[in-house]
Amino acid sequence: MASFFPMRRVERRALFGLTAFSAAAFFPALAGFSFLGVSLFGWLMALLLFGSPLLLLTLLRPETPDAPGTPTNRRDGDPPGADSDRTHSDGADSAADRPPTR
Amino acid sequence: MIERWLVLVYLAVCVVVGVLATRRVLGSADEYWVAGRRVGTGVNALAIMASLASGGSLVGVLGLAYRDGIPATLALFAGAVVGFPLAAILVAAPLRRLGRFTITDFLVFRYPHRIVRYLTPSLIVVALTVYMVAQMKAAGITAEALLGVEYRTAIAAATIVFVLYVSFGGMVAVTVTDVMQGALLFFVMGVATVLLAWFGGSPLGALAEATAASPAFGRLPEGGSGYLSYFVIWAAAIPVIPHIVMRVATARDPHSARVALNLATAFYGVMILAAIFVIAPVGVLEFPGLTDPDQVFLRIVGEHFPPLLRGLAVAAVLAAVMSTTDAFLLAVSSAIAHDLFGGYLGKKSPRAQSLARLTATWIVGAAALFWAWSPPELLTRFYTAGVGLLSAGLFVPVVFGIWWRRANLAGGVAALLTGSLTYTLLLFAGPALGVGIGPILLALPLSFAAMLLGGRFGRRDPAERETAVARLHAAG
Repeated sequence: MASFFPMRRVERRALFGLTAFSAAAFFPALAGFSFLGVSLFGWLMALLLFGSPLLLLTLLRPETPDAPGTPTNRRDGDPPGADSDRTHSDGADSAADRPPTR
Repeated sequence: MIERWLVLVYLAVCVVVGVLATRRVLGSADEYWVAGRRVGTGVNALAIMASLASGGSLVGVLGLAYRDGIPATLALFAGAVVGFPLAAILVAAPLRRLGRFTITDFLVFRYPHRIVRYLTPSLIVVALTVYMVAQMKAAGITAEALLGVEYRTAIAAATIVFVLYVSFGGMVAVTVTDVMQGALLFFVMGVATVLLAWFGGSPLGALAEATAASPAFGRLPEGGSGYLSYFVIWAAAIPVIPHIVMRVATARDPHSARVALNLATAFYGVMILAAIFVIAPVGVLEFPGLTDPDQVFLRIVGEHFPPLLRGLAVAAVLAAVMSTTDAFLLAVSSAIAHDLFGGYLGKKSPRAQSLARLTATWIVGAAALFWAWSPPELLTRFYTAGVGLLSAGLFVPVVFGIWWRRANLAGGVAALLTGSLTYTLLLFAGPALGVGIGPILLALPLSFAAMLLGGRFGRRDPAERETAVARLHAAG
Protein backbone atom coordinates (compact mmCIF):
# COMPACT_ATOMS: atom_id res chain seq x y z
CA MET A 1 0.00 0.00 0.00
CA ALA A 2 1.35 3.46 -0.91
CA SER A 3 2.34 5.79 1.94
CA PHE A 4 0.14 8.62 0.69
CA PHE A 5 -3.46 8.76 -0.44
CA PRO A 6 -3.42 9.19 -4.21
CA MET A 7 -3.88 12.64 -5.68
CA ARG A 8 -4.99 13.42 -9.22
CA ARG A 9 -1.91 13.54 -11.38
CA VAL A 10 -2.73 16.99 -12.73
CA GLU A 11 -3.08 18.40 -9.21
CA ARG A 12 0.15 16.77 -8.10
CA ARG A 13 1.90 18.42 -11.02
CA ALA A 14 0.31 21.77 -10.24
CA LEU A 15 1.45 21.47 -6.63
CA PHE A 16 4.98 20.62 -7.70
CA GLY A 17 4.98 23.41 -10.31
CA LEU A 18 3.83 26.06 -7.84
CA THR A 19 6.39 24.99 -5.26
CA ALA A 20 9.22 24.89 -7.80
CA PHE A 21 8.24 28.27 -9.28
CA SER A 22 8.07 29.88 -5.82
CA ALA A 23 11.45 28.44 -4.84
CA ALA A 24 13.04 29.57 -8.12
CA ALA A 25 11.66 33.10 -7.72
CA PHE A 26 13.52 33.48 -4.42
CA PHE A 27 16.80 32.36 -6.03
CA PRO A 28 19.26 35.21 -5.34
CA ALA A 29 20.85 35.18 -8.80
CA LEU A 30 17.60 36.55 -10.30
CA ALA A 31 17.72 39.74 -8.25
CA GLY A 32 19.91 41.59 -10.77
CA PHE A 33 17.55 41.61 -13.78
CA SER A 34 14.84 44.23 -14.19
CA PHE A 35 12.10 45.38 -16.59
CA LEU A 36 10.34 48.80 -16.48
CA GLY A 37 12.52 49.48 -13.46
CA VAL A 38 11.07 46.55 -11.49
CA SER A 39 13.33 43.60 -10.65
CA LEU A 40 12.66 40.19 -12.20
CA PHE A 41 11.82 38.88 -8.73
CA GLY A 42 8.93 41.37 -8.59
CA TRP A 43 7.60 40.27 -11.99
CA LEU A 44 7.84 36.60 -10.99
CA MET A 45 5.88 37.32 -7.81
CA ALA A 46 3.29 39.23 -9.87
CA LEU A 47 3.02 36.27 -12.23
CA LEU A 48 2.53 33.99 -9.23
CA LEU A 49 -0.17 36.28 -7.84
CA PHE A 50 -2.08 36.36 -11.08
CA GLY A 51 -1.25 32.98 -12.57
CA SER A 52 -1.62 30.52 -9.71
CA PRO A 53 -5.39 30.89 -9.19
CA LEU A 54 -6.01 30.89 -12.94
CA LEU A 55 -3.92 27.74 -13.33
CA LEU A 56 -5.92 25.98 -10.63
CA LEU A 57 -9.25 27.18 -12.03
CA THR A 58 -8.42 25.56 -15.36
CA LEU A 59 -7.39 22.32 -13.66
CA LEU A 60 -10.25 21.85 -11.20
CA ARG A 61 -12.95 19.57 -12.47
CA PRO A 62 -16.20 18.54 -10.81
CA GLU A 63 -16.21 15.30 -8.90
CA THR A 64 -18.68 12.62 -9.84
CA PRO A 65 -20.09 10.27 -7.25
CA ASP A 66 -18.53 6.85 -7.32
CA ALA A 67 -20.91 4.03 -8.10
CA PRO A 68 -21.23 1.76 -5.05
CA GLY A 69 -19.23 -1.40 -5.34
CA THR A 70 -17.26 -0.35 -8.40
CA PRO A 71 -13.59 0.56 -8.54
CA THR A 72 -13.24 4.31 -8.14
CA ASN A 73 -11.02 6.82 -9.83
CA ARG A 74 -7.87 6.75 -11.76
CA ARG A 75 -4.58 5.36 -10.60
CA ASP A 76 -1.24 6.21 -12.14
CA GLY A 77 -0.74 3.87 -15.04
CA ASP A 78 -4.38 3.89 -16.12
CA PRO A 79 -4.73 4.40 -19.86
CA PRO A 80 -5.27 8.00 -20.96
CA GLY A 81 -8.92 9.01 -20.82
CA ALA A 82 -9.73 6.42 -18.20
CA ASP A 83 -10.24 9.12 -15.62
CA SER A 84 -12.37 11.55 -17.58
CA ASP A 85 -14.16 13.00 -14.58
CA ARG A 86 -12.79 11.01 -11.74
CA THR A 87 -10.85 12.71 -9.02
CA HIS A 88 -9.28 10.81 -6.15
CA SER A 89 -8.41 7.17 -6.07
CA ASP A 90 -9.18 5.34 -2.88
CA GLY A 91 -5.80 3.69 -3.33
CA ALA A 92 -7.01 0.36 -1.96
CA ASP A 93 -5.31 -2.76 -3.18
CA SER A 94 -8.34 -5.01 -3.11
CA ALA A 95 -12.08 -4.79 -2.75
CA ALA A 96 -11.76 -6.02 0.83
CA ASP A 97 -9.71 -3.12 2.09
CA ARG A 98 -11.33 -0.48 -0.07
CA PRO A 99 -13.13 2.05 2.16
CA PRO A 100 -16.83 2.57 1.63
CA THR A 101 -17.70 5.49 -0.62
CA ARG A 102 -20.13 8.25 0.33
CA MET B 1 -20.41 65.44 5.22
CA ILE B 2 -21.49 63.01 2.52
CA GLU B 3 -18.67 60.68 3.62
CA ARG B 4 -20.16 60.40 7.12
CA TRP B 5 -23.65 59.68 5.79
CA LEU B 6 -22.38 56.98 3.46
CA VAL B 7 -20.53 55.28 6.31
CA LEU B 8 -23.57 55.54 8.61
CA VAL B 9 -25.82 54.00 5.95
CA TYR B 10 -23.30 51.23 5.43
CA LEU B 11 -23.11 50.43 9.17
CA ALA B 12 -26.90 50.49 9.49
CA VAL B 13 -27.27 48.02 6.60
CA CYS B 14 -24.83 45.64 8.33
CA VAL B 15 -26.92 45.70 11.53
CA VAL B 16 -30.17 45.16 9.60
CA VAL B 17 -28.63 42.13 7.84
CA GLY B 18 -27.67 40.66 11.23
CA VAL B 19 -31.14 41.19 12.65
CA LEU B 20 -32.83 39.67 9.60
CA ALA B 21 -30.60 36.59 9.80
CA THR B 22 -31.36 36.01 13.50
CA ARG B 23 -34.48 33.89 13.11
CA ARG B 24 -32.75 31.55 10.67
CA VAL B 25 -29.57 30.92 12.63
CA LEU B 26 -30.19 31.07 16.35
CA GLY B 27 -31.87 27.69 16.66
CA SER B 28 -29.24 25.67 14.78
CA ALA B 29 -25.49 25.28 15.23
CA ASP B 30 -25.19 24.27 11.57
CA GLU B 31 -26.85 27.50 10.43
CA TYR B 32 -24.96 29.63 12.94
CA TRP B 33 -21.42 28.39 12.24
CA VAL B 34 -21.57 27.40 8.55
CA ALA B 35 -24.77 28.97 7.11
CA GLY B 36 -26.42 25.59 6.63
CA ARG B 37 -23.69 24.55 4.11
CA ARG B 38 -25.68 26.02 1.23
CA VAL B 39 -23.47 28.94 0.13
CA GLY B 40 -23.01 29.04 -3.66
CA THR B 41 -19.65 29.27 -5.42
CA GLY B 42 -19.77 32.93 -6.56
CA VAL B 43 -21.09 34.22 -3.24
CA ASN B 44 -18.52 32.20 -1.33
CA ALA B 45 -15.70 33.45 -3.58
CA LEU B 46 -16.62 37.08 -2.95
CA ALA B 47 -16.99 36.45 0.78
CA ILE B 48 -13.60 34.68 0.94
CA MET B 49 -11.98 37.52 -0.98
CA ALA B 50 -13.50 40.07 1.42
CA SER B 51 -12.40 38.17 4.50
CA LEU B 52 -8.86 37.90 3.12
CA ALA B 53 -8.72 41.55 2.05
CA SER B 54 -8.17 43.22 5.39
CA GLY B 55 -7.46 46.87 6.09
CA GLY B 56 -3.87 45.91 5.38
CA SER B 57 -4.75 44.92 1.84
CA LEU B 58 -6.08 48.35 1.02
CA VAL B 59 -4.20 50.87 3.12
CA GLY B 60 -1.25 48.66 4.08
CA VAL B 61 -0.35 47.36 0.63
CA LEU B 62 0.13 50.89 -0.68
CA GLY B 63 2.06 51.97 2.40
CA LEU B 64 4.29 48.93 2.16
CA ALA B 65 4.92 49.39 -1.57
CA TYR B 66 5.71 53.07 -0.94
CA ARG B 67 8.20 52.23 1.83
CA ASP B 68 9.77 48.88 0.80
CA GLY B 69 9.19 48.88 -2.97
CA ILE B 70 7.20 46.67 -5.32
CA PRO B 71 9.11 43.34 -5.15
CA ALA B 72 9.09 43.09 -1.35
CA THR B 73 5.40 43.94 -1.18
CA LEU B 74 4.54 41.38 -3.82
CA ALA B 75 6.52 38.72 -1.91
CA LEU B 76 4.32 39.24 1.15
CA PHE B 77 1.03 39.13 -0.71
CA ALA B 78 2.05 36.34 -3.10
CA GLY B 79 2.47 34.03 -0.09
CA ALA B 80 -1.23 34.36 0.75
CA VAL B 81 -2.17 33.95 -2.89
CA VAL B 82 -0.14 30.76 -3.25
CA GLY B 83 -1.78 29.51 -0.06
CA PHE B 84 -5.18 29.38 -1.73
CA PRO B 85 -4.25 26.91 -4.49
CA LEU B 86 -2.50 24.87 -1.79
CA ALA B 87 -5.72 24.93 0.24
CA ALA B 88 -7.77 23.98 -2.81
CA ILE B 89 -5.54 21.01 -3.63
CA LEU B 90 -4.57 19.80 -0.17
CA VAL B 91 -7.41 20.43 2.25
CA ALA B 92 -10.63 21.88 0.78
CA ALA B 93 -12.34 18.73 -0.50
CA PRO B 94 -11.39 16.40 2.41
CA LEU B 95 -12.37 18.99 5.03
CA ARG B 96 -15.68 19.67 3.29
CA ARG B 97 -16.37 15.92 3.15
CA LEU B 98 -15.72 15.68 6.89
CA GLY B 99 -18.86 17.78 7.36
CA ARG B 100 -17.85 19.49 10.61
CA PHE B 101 -17.37 23.19 11.42
CA THR B 102 -13.79 24.04 12.42
CA ILE B 103 -10.14 23.10 11.97
CA THR B 104 -10.16 21.86 15.59
CA ASP B 105 -12.97 19.47 14.66
CA PHE B 106 -10.72 17.92 12.03
CA LEU B 107 -7.67 17.72 14.27
CA VAL B 108 -9.64 16.15 17.13
CA PHE B 109 -11.19 13.67 14.69
CA ARG B 110 -7.72 12.80 13.34
CA TYR B 111 -5.75 12.94 16.61
CA PRO B 112 -8.20 12.43 19.49
CA HIS B 113 -6.11 13.69 22.40
CA ARG B 114 -6.62 16.27 25.13
CA ILE B 115 -3.57 18.28 24.04
CA VAL B 116 -5.05 18.69 20.55
CA ARG B 117 -8.54 19.46 21.90
CA TYR B 118 -7.34 22.30 24.13
CA LEU B 119 -4.13 23.57 22.51
CA THR B 120 -5.57 24.09 19.02
CA PRO B 121 -8.44 26.42 20.01
CA SER B 122 -6.13 28.22 22.44
CA LEU B 123 -3.65 28.97 19.62
CA ILE B 124 -6.56 30.18 17.48
CA VAL B 125 -7.91 32.49 20.18
CA VAL B 126 -4.50 34.09 20.81
CA ALA B 127 -3.46 34.48 17.16
CA LEU B 128 -6.75 35.75 15.77
CA THR B 129 -7.51 38.10 18.66
CA VAL B 130 -4.18 39.83 18.07
CA TYR B 131 -5.06 40.13 14.38
CA MET B 132 -8.53 41.51 15.20
CA VAL B 133 -7.06 44.20 17.41
CA ALA B 134 -4.69 45.28 14.62
CA GLN B 135 -7.65 45.53 12.23
CA MET B 136 -9.65 47.60 14.68
CA LYS B 137 -6.72 49.93 15.10
CA ALA B 138 -6.58 50.38 11.30
CA ALA B 139 -10.32 51.20 11.25
CA GLY B 140 -9.92 53.77 14.02
CA ILE B 141 -6.97 55.50 12.39
CA THR B 142 -8.74 55.66 9.01
CA ALA B 143 -11.98 57.03 10.45
CA GLU B 144 -10.01 59.62 12.39
CA ALA B 145 -8.06 60.72 9.29
CA LEU B 146 -10.87 60.77 6.73
CA LEU B 147 -14.05 61.37 8.75
CA GLY B 148 -12.68 63.42 11.62
CA VAL B 149 -14.19 60.98 14.12
CA GLU B 150 -12.16 60.43 17.29
CA TYR B 151 -10.21 57.12 17.33
CA ARG B 152 -11.95 55.56 20.35
CA THR B 153 -15.42 56.60 19.22
CA ALA B 154 -14.73 55.05 15.81
CA ILE B 155 -13.49 51.69 17.12
CA ALA B 156 -16.30 51.48 19.68
CA ALA B 157 -18.94 52.13 17.00
CA ALA B 158 -17.38 49.68 14.54
CA THR B 159 -17.03 46.99 17.25
CA ILE B 160 -20.64 47.34 18.40
CA VAL B 161 -21.84 47.02 14.81
CA PHE B 162 -19.89 43.91 13.88
CA VAL B 163 -20.42 42.21 17.22
CA LEU B 164 -24.16 42.83 16.81
CA TYR B 165 -24.46 41.31 13.37
CA VAL B 166 -22.05 38.43 14.03
CA SER B 167 -23.59 37.45 17.37
CA PHE B 168 -27.18 37.51 16.13
CA GLY B 169 -26.70 36.58 12.49
CA GLY B 170 -23.79 34.10 12.67
CA MET B 171 -22.26 32.91 9.40
CA VAL B 172 -25.34 33.92 7.40
CA ALA B 173 -24.89 37.57 8.37
CA VAL B 174 -21.11 37.34 7.94
CA THR B 175 -21.57 35.93 4.43
CA VAL B 176 -24.10 38.56 3.32
CA THR B 177 -22.12 41.48 4.74
CA ASP B 178 -18.86 40.06 3.38
CA VAL B 179 -20.36 39.89 -0.11
CA MET B 180 -21.45 43.53 0.16
CA GLN B 181 -18.06 44.50 1.54
CA GLY B 182 -16.17 42.51 -1.11
CA ALA B 183 -18.18 44.09 -3.93
CA LEU B 184 -17.65 47.58 -2.51
CA LEU B 185 -13.93 46.97 -2.11
CA PHE B 186 -13.56 45.63 -5.64
CA PHE B 187 -15.59 48.52 -7.05
CA VAL B 188 -13.57 51.22 -5.27
CA MET B 189 -10.24 49.67 -6.21
CA GLY B 190 -11.43 49.26 -9.80
CA VAL B 191 -12.59 52.87 -10.10
CA ALA B 192 -9.42 54.17 -8.44
CA THR B 193 -7.25 52.14 -10.82
CA VAL B 194 -9.12 53.26 -13.94
CA LEU B 195 -9.15 56.93 -12.85
CA LEU B 196 -5.45 57.01 -12.02
CA ALA B 197 -4.48 55.13 -15.20
CA TRP B 198 -6.60 57.66 -17.15
CA PHE B 199 -4.84 60.61 -15.52
CA GLY B 200 -1.44 59.00 -16.10
CA GLY B 201 -2.12 58.44 -19.81
CA SER B 202 -1.47 54.67 -19.71
CA PRO B 203 -1.85 51.87 -17.13
CA LEU B 204 1.89 51.52 -16.54
CA GLY B 205 2.94 55.10 -17.37
CA ALA B 206 3.23 56.14 -13.74
CA LEU B 207 5.15 52.94 -12.94
CA ALA B 208 7.93 53.71 -15.42
CA GLU B 209 8.13 57.31 -14.17
CA ALA B 210 8.14 56.27 -10.51
CA THR B 211 10.92 53.69 -10.90
CA ALA B 212 12.96 56.23 -12.88
CA ALA B 213 12.47 58.88 -10.19
CA SER B 214 13.03 56.44 -7.32
CA PRO B 215 14.91 53.28 -8.45
CA ALA B 216 14.56 51.70 -4.99
CA PHE B 217 10.80 51.46 -5.65
CA GLY B 218 11.47 48.65 -8.16
CA ARG B 219 14.19 46.81 -6.27
CA LEU B 220 14.18 44.22 -3.50
CA PRO B 221 15.76 45.65 -0.35
CA GLU B 222 18.37 43.76 1.66
CA GLY B 223 17.20 40.98 4.00
CA GLY B 224 15.76 38.38 1.61
CA SER B 225 15.18 35.74 4.32
CA GLY B 226 12.68 38.08 6.03
CA TYR B 227 10.52 38.20 2.91
CA LEU B 228 10.90 34.45 2.44
CA SER B 229 9.59 34.01 6.02
CA TYR B 230 6.51 36.11 5.36
CA PHE B 231 5.90 34.27 2.10
CA VAL B 232 6.11 30.88 3.84
CA ILE B 233 3.99 32.00 6.82
CA TRP B 234 1.10 33.05 4.61
CA ALA B 235 1.40 30.21 2.11
CA ALA B 236 1.24 27.70 4.98
CA ALA B 237 -1.42 29.63 6.93
CA ILE B 238 -4.18 29.82 4.34
CA PRO B 239 -4.85 26.04 4.21
CA VAL B 240 -5.29 25.94 8.01
CA ILE B 241 -6.41 29.41 9.06
CA PRO B 242 -9.73 28.95 10.89
CA HIS B 243 -11.92 31.52 9.15
CA ILE B 244 -11.00 30.19 5.70
CA VAL B 245 -11.62 26.61 6.85
CA MET B 246 -15.07 27.69 8.11
CA ARG B 247 -15.80 29.22 4.72
CA VAL B 248 -14.83 25.91 3.09
CA ALA B 249 -17.36 24.24 5.39
CA THR B 250 -20.11 26.60 4.18
CA ALA B 251 -19.75 25.45 0.56
CA ARG B 252 -22.52 23.27 -0.81
CA ASP B 253 -20.02 20.61 -1.99
CA PRO B 254 -16.25 19.98 -2.18
CA HIS B 255 -15.91 21.12 -5.79
CA SER B 256 -17.70 24.38 -5.04
CA ALA B 257 -15.32 24.98 -2.12
CA ARG B 258 -12.26 24.48 -4.31
CA VAL B 259 -13.50 26.69 -7.13
CA ALA B 260 -14.57 29.41 -4.68
CA LEU B 261 -11.10 29.47 -3.11
CA ASN B 262 -9.43 30.00 -6.47
CA LEU B 263 -11.96 32.53 -7.73
CA ALA B 264 -11.45 34.50 -4.52
CA THR B 265 -7.70 34.43 -5.08
CA ALA B 266 -8.08 35.62 -8.66
CA PHE B 267 -10.19 38.63 -7.48
CA TYR B 268 -7.73 39.34 -4.70
CA GLY B 269 -4.68 39.01 -6.96
CA VAL B 270 -6.10 41.44 -9.52
CA MET B 271 -6.87 43.94 -6.76
CA ILE B 272 -3.40 43.72 -5.22
CA LEU B 273 -1.67 44.00 -8.60
CA ALA B 274 -3.75 47.05 -9.52
CA ALA B 275 -2.88 48.69 -6.21
CA ILE B 276 0.84 47.98 -6.53
CA PHE B 277 1.39 48.67 -10.23
CA VAL B 278 -1.05 51.54 -10.84
CA ILE B 279 -1.97 53.29 -7.55
CA ALA B 280 1.28 53.06 -5.55
CA PRO B 281 3.44 54.68 -8.30
CA VAL B 282 1.13 57.73 -8.22
CA GLY B 283 1.82 58.02 -4.50
CA VAL B 284 5.59 57.78 -5.05
CA LEU B 285 5.49 60.49 -7.72
CA GLU B 286 3.07 62.92 -6.08
CA PHE B 287 3.79 62.52 -2.36
CA PRO B 288 7.52 61.84 -1.90
CA GLY B 289 8.96 61.89 1.60
CA LEU B 290 5.86 60.94 3.61
CA THR B 291 6.85 60.12 7.20
CA ASP B 292 3.89 57.75 7.59
CA PRO B 293 3.69 55.57 4.43
CA ASP B 294 0.21 54.31 5.40
CA GLN B 295 -1.08 57.78 4.55
CA VAL B 296 -0.47 57.24 0.80
CA PHE B 297 -3.93 55.86 0.05
CA LEU B 298 -5.62 58.56 2.11
CA ARG B 299 -3.60 61.28 0.36
CA ILE B 300 -4.39 59.94 -3.10
CA VAL B 301 -8.08 59.67 -2.23
CA GLY B 302 -8.09 63.23 -0.89
CA GLU B 303 -6.27 64.61 -3.93
CA HIS B 304 -7.93 62.81 -6.84
CA PHE B 305 -11.41 61.63 -5.78
CA PRO B 306 -14.68 63.63 -5.79
CA PRO B 307 -16.62 63.71 -2.48
CA LEU B 308 -18.94 60.80 -3.33
CA LEU B 309 -16.03 58.56 -4.24
CA ARG B 310 -14.15 59.72 -1.13
CA GLY B 311 -17.11 58.55 0.96
CA LEU B 312 -17.17 55.21 -0.84
CA ALA B 313 -13.41 54.89 -0.30
CA VAL B 314 -13.79 55.38 3.47
CA ALA B 315 -16.64 52.87 3.51
CA ALA B 316 -14.42 50.49 1.51
CA VAL B 317 -11.61 50.75 4.08
CA LEU B 318 -14.10 50.08 6.88
CA ALA B 319 -15.58 47.25 4.81
CA ALA B 320 -12.13 45.72 4.36
CA VAL B 321 -11.50 45.91 8.09
CA MET B 322 -14.93 44.66 9.12
CA SER B 323 -15.13 41.79 6.62
CA THR B 324 -11.91 40.36 8.04
CA THR B 325 -12.71 41.15 11.65
CA ASP B 326 -16.21 39.63 11.56
CA ALA B 327 -14.83 36.39 10.10
CA PHE B 328 -12.14 36.30 12.81
CA LEU B 329 -14.71 37.08 15.50
CA LEU B 330 -16.85 34.15 14.37
CA ALA B 331 -13.77 31.88 14.22
CA VAL B 332 -12.62 32.87 17.73
CA SER B 333 -16.16 32.49 19.09
CA SER B 334 -16.37 29.02 17.54
CA ALA B 335 -12.99 28.15 19.09
CA ILE B 336 -14.48 28.99 22.51
CA ALA B 337 -18.17 28.02 22.30
CA HIS B 338 -17.77 25.04 19.96
CA ASP B 339 -14.21 23.71 20.30
CA LEU B 340 -13.45 24.35 23.97
CA PHE B 341 -16.89 24.08 25.58
CA GLY B 342 -18.81 22.24 22.86
CA GLY B 343 -18.68 18.92 24.73
CA TYR B 344 -20.19 20.46 27.85
CA LEU B 345 -22.72 22.61 25.96
CA GLY B 346 -23.84 19.67 23.83
CA LYS B 347 -25.73 18.33 26.86
CA LYS B 348 -27.65 21.61 27.28
CA SER B 349 -30.84 22.75 25.56
CA PRO B 350 -30.65 24.42 22.11
CA ARG B 351 -31.64 27.70 23.76
CA ALA B 352 -28.74 27.45 26.21
CA GLN B 353 -26.38 26.64 23.33
CA SER B 354 -27.57 29.70 21.39
CA LEU B 355 -27.06 31.85 24.47
CA ALA B 356 -23.54 30.47 24.90
CA ARG B 357 -22.64 31.26 21.26
CA LEU B 358 -23.96 34.76 21.64
CA THR B 359 -22.14 35.31 24.95
CA ALA B 360 -18.85 34.02 23.54
CA THR B 361 -19.08 36.47 20.62
CA TRP B 362 -19.77 39.44 22.91
CA ILE B 363 -16.95 38.50 25.30
CA VAL B 364 -14.42 38.18 22.46
CA GLY B 365 -15.62 41.47 20.93
CA ALA B 366 -15.35 43.25 24.28
CA ALA B 367 -11.87 41.85 24.93
CA ALA B 368 -10.68 42.97 21.48
CA LEU B 369 -12.17 46.43 22.01
CA PHE B 370 -10.52 46.70 25.43
CA TRP B 371 -7.12 45.88 23.92
CA ALA B 372 -7.62 48.11 20.87
CA TRP B 373 -8.57 51.02 23.16
CA SER B 374 -4.84 51.59 23.83
CA PRO B 375 -3.11 49.28 21.36
CA PRO B 376 0.57 48.39 21.83
CA GLU B 377 2.86 50.27 19.46
CA LEU B 378 4.27 47.11 17.89
CA LEU B 379 0.94 45.43 17.38
CA THR B 380 1.00 45.50 13.61
CA ARG B 381 4.39 43.85 13.67
CA PHE B 382 3.34 40.83 15.65
CA TYR B 383 -0.02 40.00 14.09
CA THR B 384 1.82 38.26 11.28
CA ALA B 385 3.72 36.48 14.04
CA GLY B 386 0.34 35.30 15.38
CA VAL B 387 -0.55 33.89 11.99
CA GLY B 388 2.93 32.31 11.87
CA LEU B 389 2.14 30.51 15.11
CA LEU B 390 -0.93 28.96 13.49
CA SER B 391 1.07 27.95 10.40
CA ALA B 392 3.87 26.44 12.45
CA GLY B 393 1.55 24.49 14.73
CA LEU B 394 -1.24 23.37 12.40
CA PHE B 395 0.06 23.03 8.83
CA VAL B 396 1.91 19.71 9.17
CA PRO B 397 -0.68 17.94 11.40
CA VAL B 398 -3.51 18.97 9.08
CA VAL B 399 -1.89 18.25 5.70
CA PHE B 400 -0.18 15.03 6.76
CA GLY B 401 -3.25 13.98 8.71
CA ILE B 402 -5.21 14.14 5.47
CA TRP B 403 -2.68 12.71 3.04
CA TRP B 404 -0.16 10.49 4.83
CA ARG B 405 -1.47 7.03 5.62
CA ARG B 406 1.05 6.55 8.42
CA ALA B 407 0.16 9.75 10.23
CA ASN B 408 -0.88 8.72 13.73
CA LEU B 409 -1.75 10.12 17.13
CA ALA B 410 1.88 10.30 18.30
CA GLY B 411 3.01 12.06 15.12
CA GLY B 412 0.10 14.52 15.11
CA VAL B 413 0.53 15.56 18.73
CA ALA B 414 4.32 15.76 18.34
CA ALA B 415 4.06 17.89 15.18
CA LEU B 416 1.54 20.26 16.80
CA LEU B 417 3.66 20.71 19.92
CA THR B 418 7.01 20.91 18.12
CA GLY B 419 5.80 23.44 15.54
CA SER B 420 4.07 25.78 17.97
CA LEU B 421 6.70 25.59 20.73
CA THR B 422 9.65 26.01 18.34
CA TYR B 423 8.00 29.00 16.70
CA THR B 424 7.21 30.66 20.05
CA LEU B 425 10.71 30.02 21.39
CA LEU B 426 12.45 31.42 18.30
CA LEU B 427 10.08 34.37 18.06
CA PHE B 428 11.04 35.59 21.50
CA ALA B 429 14.55 34.18 21.94
CA GLY B 430 15.79 33.54 18.38
CA PRO B 431 18.42 36.30 18.29
CA ALA B 432 19.62 35.44 21.82
CA LEU B 433 20.03 31.81 20.70
CA GLY B 434 21.98 32.92 17.64
CA VAL B 435 19.26 31.95 15.15
CA GLY B 436 19.30 34.50 12.35
CA ILE B 437 16.47 33.25 10.14
CA GLY B 438 12.71 33.61 10.52
CA PRO B 439 11.16 31.25 13.13
CA ILE B 440 8.82 29.69 10.58
CA LEU B 441 11.76 28.49 8.47
CA LEU B 442 12.88 26.24 11.35
CA ALA B 443 9.56 25.50 13.04
CA LEU B 444 7.91 23.97 9.96
CA PRO B 445 10.76 21.53 9.14
CA LEU B 446 10.97 20.50 12.82
CA SER B 447 7.21 19.94 12.94
CA PHE B 448 7.57 17.82 9.80
CA ALA B 449 10.41 15.82 11.41
CA ALA B 450 8.28 15.24 14.53
CA MET B 451 5.43 13.93 12.36
CA LEU B 452 7.80 11.52 10.56
CA LEU B 453 9.31 10.25 13.82
CA GLY B 454 5.89 9.81 15.40
CA GLY B 455 4.63 7.97 12.33
CA ARG B 456 7.69 5.75 12.26
CA PHE B 457 7.95 4.83 15.95
CA GLY B 458 4.48 5.56 17.36
CA ARG B 459 1.61 3.09 17.67
CA ARG B 460 -0.42 2.67 14.49
CA ASP B 461 -3.92 4.19 14.54
CA PRO B 462 -6.90 1.84 14.91
CA ALA B 463 -8.26 0.47 11.62
CA GLU B 464 -11.58 2.32 11.94
CA ARG B 465 -9.81 5.69 12.05
CA GLU B 466 -7.74 4.79 8.99
CA THR B 467 -10.95 3.85 7.20
CA ALA B 468 -12.60 7.10 8.27
CA VAL B 469 -9.65 9.11 6.91
CA ALA B 470 -9.74 7.14 3.65
CA ARG B 471 -13.42 8.15 3.28
CA LEU B 472 -12.32 11.80 3.16
CA HIS B 473 -10.64 11.02 -0.17
CA ALA B 474 -13.61 9.26 -1.74
CA ALA B 475 -15.46 11.45 -4.23
CA GLY B 476 -19.22 11.57 -4.15
